[in-house]
Parts: sequence; C-alpha cells; structure tokens
Amino acid sequence: MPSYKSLLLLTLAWLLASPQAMALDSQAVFQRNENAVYQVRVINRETGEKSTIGSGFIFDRPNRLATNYHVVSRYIEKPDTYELRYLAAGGAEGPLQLISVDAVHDLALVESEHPLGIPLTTGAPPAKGATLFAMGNPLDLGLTIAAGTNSGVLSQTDDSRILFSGSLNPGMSGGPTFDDQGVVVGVNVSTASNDISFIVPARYLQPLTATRLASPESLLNEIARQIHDYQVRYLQRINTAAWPPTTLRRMQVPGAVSPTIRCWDASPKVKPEQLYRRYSISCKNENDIYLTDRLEVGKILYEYIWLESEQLEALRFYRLYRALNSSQFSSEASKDDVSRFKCDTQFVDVAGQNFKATLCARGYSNYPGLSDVLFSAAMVGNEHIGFIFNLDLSGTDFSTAQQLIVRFLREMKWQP
Amino acid sequence: MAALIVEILGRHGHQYHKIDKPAVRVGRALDNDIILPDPAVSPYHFILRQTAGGIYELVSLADENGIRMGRQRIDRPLSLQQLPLQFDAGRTRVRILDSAQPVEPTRLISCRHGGACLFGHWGWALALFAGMLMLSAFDNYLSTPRTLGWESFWRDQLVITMSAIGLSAGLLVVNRITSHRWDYPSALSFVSLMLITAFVLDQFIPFADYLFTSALPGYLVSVTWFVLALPFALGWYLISLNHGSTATSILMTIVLLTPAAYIQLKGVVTHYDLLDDFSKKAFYSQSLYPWDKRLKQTISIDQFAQISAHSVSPDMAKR
Repeated sequence: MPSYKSLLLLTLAWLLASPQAMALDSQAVFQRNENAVYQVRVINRETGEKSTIGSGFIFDRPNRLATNYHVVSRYIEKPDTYELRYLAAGGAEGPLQLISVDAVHDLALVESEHPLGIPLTTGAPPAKGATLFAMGNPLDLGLTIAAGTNSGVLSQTDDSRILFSGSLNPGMSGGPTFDDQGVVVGVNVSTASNDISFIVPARYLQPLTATRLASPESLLNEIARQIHDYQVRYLQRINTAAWPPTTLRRMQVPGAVSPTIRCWDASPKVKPEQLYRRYSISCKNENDIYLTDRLEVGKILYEYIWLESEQLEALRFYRLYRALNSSQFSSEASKDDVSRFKCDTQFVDVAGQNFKATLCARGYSNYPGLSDVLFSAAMVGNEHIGFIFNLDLSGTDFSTAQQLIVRFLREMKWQP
Repeated sequence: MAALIVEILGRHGHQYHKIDKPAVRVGRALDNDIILPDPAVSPYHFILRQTAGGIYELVSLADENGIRMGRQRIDRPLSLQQLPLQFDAGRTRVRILDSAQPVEPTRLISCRHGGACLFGHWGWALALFAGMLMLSAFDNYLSTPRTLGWESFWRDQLVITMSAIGLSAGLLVVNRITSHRWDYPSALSFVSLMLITAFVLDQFIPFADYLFTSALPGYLVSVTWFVLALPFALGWYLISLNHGSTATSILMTIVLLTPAAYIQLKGVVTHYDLLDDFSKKAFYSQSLYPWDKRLKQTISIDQFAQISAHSVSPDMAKR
C-alpha cells in the first residue's frame, strides 16, 4: 500500500504533466499555433500587389479564417478593384472568399477553397492580470508573438474591447490572442500607444458562424443594418438611463451620460491679460466603429462652453462669443461617402433661456439609414454671459439621435 | 468750320495747340510750329495744311518712322474731315480735335455740389484716412478680448495703415495709366472711403445674419459690394471723376476686382450648392449679437424637434 506521501507526489506529478493545467510560455504557444495563423492580404487586382495586410486564424472550420472587419474593409468597399488572399507561414497562398462580417465588433470570416488546418479553440478571457499572447504578422515582417497581460474589459467600449497590456503593431490585426493554455480568447484589433492595445473578446466570433452573406451586393446594406441597429440600441440605452448632472457655472447640464463616455475639463489656460473667463467640459465615447479608411462611426462627442466677463463691453464680448460659436463636424468623409449637411436654425426656449439652436444632418451615400448629426446651441440675450452646447454623432440613426438631443436640452437647468 | 486743335498726349500731361494758319509743320527740329521732343520723331515729321476747299489735310514728311494709325502707315495726304483723328508720330500719340468738340464736365472740388469735394483736397483725404484708421482701431479693439497691449495694438494698426497706403499707391498708378495724371489726394480719399465702407459692412453683415437667422442677407450684401458697388465706384472714380480713358479704366477695373468678386461669388455658390459642389462644412447661421433683435420667434424644444426633423432629416439630405 502506497504511503500518503507517495500519493501526494504522484498527484503533483500528474498535475504538472497535464496539458490543461500547465501554463505555456510564449515559445510553446507560438510553436503550437504557428501553422494556424495566416496573413490576410487585400490585393489590388491591377498591380497584383498587396494594398492592406492583416492576420487571421483558423476558426470554426478547417478552411475558415477569422480576422478583423477593418482588414478586409477595402475589399468590401471596392470588390472590383481588390481581392482577398491568404499567405501561410510556410509560403503557401491562395484566394479567400468573404463569408460574414460583424462591423460593430470589427470581425469578419473568410473562407479558402481548400482546408488550411485545424481550427483553434476559443474561450473566455482569463482573469485580469493573467498572461496573454498575441500572434500576427506585424509590418509584413513574418509571424511573431507578443506577450502581455489582460488588463480587463473596458466599460467605456461597451464591453466589446479587452485592454491588452502588450504591443500590437500594424499587420497583427485579426490575429489570435491566446491565454496561457493556448486557447484563443480574443482577436487583435487596435493599439493606442506603447503597450496599450485592444482585443475583441472571442465570444463575438460565434454568432458570425450562423450567418452567411447572401450576395456581395447586399454587403454594404448588411453592414449599414448592423451599425444602425447597434446605434439605435446604444442610443436608446443611453436615453432611457438616468443621467448624472454636473454644473457649469449657472447651468446644470448632463455629465457622462453613459459608462462608455468620459468627460474631461477642457477649459483653456487662464492668462492674466484676458478680460474674460472661459470654462469648458468635453465628453466623448470610446467605442467608435471603424467603417472605412475615412469613416469612423458611432462617435458621440459633446461639449459645454461657458463664457463670462464683466470687463468686456457687450459688442466686444459678443465678438469673442461669436468666434466660439463655430462648431464643425470633424470627419475625413469625402464626396463619395456622404451628402452635404443640411441645417435648420431656430431660437429655442431651453431652461427658460433663449438659445440659437442648429441641427444639421447628412446621409451616408453607401450605408442607408446612417447619418452624421451636428447640433449646436448658443444662449442669447445676456450681454456678458455666453453658454454653448455642441453635440456631434457620427454614423447614427437620425431619429434616435434627435431624441437624444431633446433629452439633453430638457436636462439643462438654469440656476439663477 | 471751327478751328483745329492738335493734342499731344504725353506722359507728363497733354499739350494743346490751336491751328490758326494755313500750314502747320510738326517735328523735332526747333524751327517747327509745334516741336515734339521725341527721338523717334523726324526733324520734320508731318504737316497740316489747308486745301483749296478750306479742309485741312495731314501730310507725312517723315521717311524713317512715319505716321501710323494702328498698324497702318499713312504715306498719302489724309483729309481731316472726320474728327477726332488719332495717330502715332514716332512714339508720340497725337490727336486732331475740333475746337467745337464738347469737353468732359468740370470736376467739382466744392462741397456745394455733392460729395465730390471728398476727392479734391488733401484736407478731406487726410480726414477720411484718419476716420478709416479710427474705425480700424475700433475694430481692432472689439476683436481684442484682453488688456490692450500698445505693441500689438500698434502693430495691427501699422498693418492696416501700410495696407491703405499701398492700396492708395496702387490706385494712384492705375489713375495715372488711365488719365495720365497723378492725383494723390483723390486716391487716398477713395481708398479710405472704400475701407470705411468695408468696416461698416463688417459690422452690418453679422447683424443681418442674426436678424434674419440666415447668412443669405450678409452674402447678398457682400456680393453686391464686391460684384457691383466696388467696380461701379472704381469705374466712377477713374472715368467720371478723373476723366480717364473709358476703355482702359474698364479694363483696369475688371483686372483688379475680378479676383475679389470671384471669391465672393464662389462662397455663395458653395454655400447654396448652386453647382452641386460638395463641402465638408456645415453651413448655418452662426452669428450672435448682443442685442437680441431678430425676426424669428422663440419656440419650444418640441416644436424645434418637429421642425428640424422635417427640414434636415437625412433622407432629404441624402443625395
């Protein structure tokens, strides 16, 4: 009969030998998965050269790769100009076909005509602080692996991003992020700066397997529908929630109206020679969605500007106030993407004060139902006090955005 | 028949000679009746002589450069029945006039007859210039929401002063080209008056924008100013006031003001999408004015939502 000591040693040896329990290092993760990670290329049909590169990994089926939507977006925008191809670590390459996309979470599935390997296993992200390994093809330099840590799910991105404290570089987008068991827990998506990178939780991949694009022609409509539906849900959720108020001098205004929104003091530095005081709060969300090279949608950006002076005469004060009332929509959209803004200006009673309020909107040319909305309102009738509220929403549903604007105006309270 | 007048068009003013004898010889030689100090003129260049019928004729005496009317050289005697007649002798332009020909109206310099005196005296010119500088200083003051520093204030004033002087010098040259006269005070007066008008309009346009809650009145005023009023004023200044050559004055007005007029028109065309030109900018009435005078009434938030939903919904905005 073996002793308790022997049993303990045997159990310990079994635990150490078990692949489920043994933490892998980056070398082991790399060696185990290098044949399952591919470079995804967007090739210009005319030149035969790559226009965009990203990464992808075998998922769900032997011939299927998961990658980012933004890796293949150029092909989606102009399928007649570009084609999709894969390149294996060993040099093999071949054509790919787009199967489905999730533009909201920046994911896409592509398929090869031939099997590419064994699909990788996906799972939930490990606890905060656990080691993660991101694989991909940075800058077309070949397959690499980068170690980092899971820094948690970002509430300001609507739970759709995990902060990866590791280094992601261009070309690694769409590659897999593994935990220390070699399970794919996310998809590399973006980076903010040194060692601040983001991954999409792998759970968003599964719904993609249930859909298949009916036709390439319907792709833009499908993407527009996804973003539109997401925007409606997102804005309605904001609109139905309680909003924390904040006070800017004599005006009570909504603060951060959603966990996805962060507000900052944006008051300019005070200079001694200034004859006025200006205070500003700027708020914006972080879960904007990549649509094309020129379009990022889902942005909410609003600011409050308070201006006051006892020393400036009314004409002089209003010269300054007028210069501040010049909100414009920040966007790289071109003539091919959007129509011109159409605006309407009215004088509106907000919190018992007269506001010169303007609502502008422009439609997206290729994504029906989506529009950019600009709202700007400046308080009038006070010779020495000014208050401006600016709100921009990109790639949103106009009606829902309008409801949000109305709510903002109703929430403002003048404090005499 | 009225007497003939020989007009010599020179850079330093015109000379007029009445023809009161049967033959008048013109050339560079000192024994001529009329002497032309032009090296391209022959010593005896041409003669004006009366024929048996009492009509004068022009006869060329020059073998070298001769007499030209445009590109045509005049070698045979030319009867002076149709006046005025203009030709070139060497590089000197000569006109033969009928002394009965009416002259331009007298340029008024007295304030008893309208505001023409503004352009006739140094006193008015300097007063207008000073007025313009005061308006500019006021505008500078309004645009400076901080304690005025003398250095920056005078630097801005120096820029406008030098600009006004530069424009006056430019106008002086233009006037010299069109009328062959240097008229310093009128150039300074005209430029000062135009800048005063520009400063006043600069105040008025935001007010109009606010009053009508529309940029259209401001644009109309601006376009009217640049496309109609300013060219008309410059044309009046060159032609009516300074008796400049009509064709040259119109040409100079077009050349000088077309770029400014083009920019203004382009702004309106872009704003109202007249050529379906795309713009990233959202154009709307941004003007704010301290005295809340406007034609639009204040409405409720619900009314605003209703109106704007109809007028700017993206389906309507979409191309």
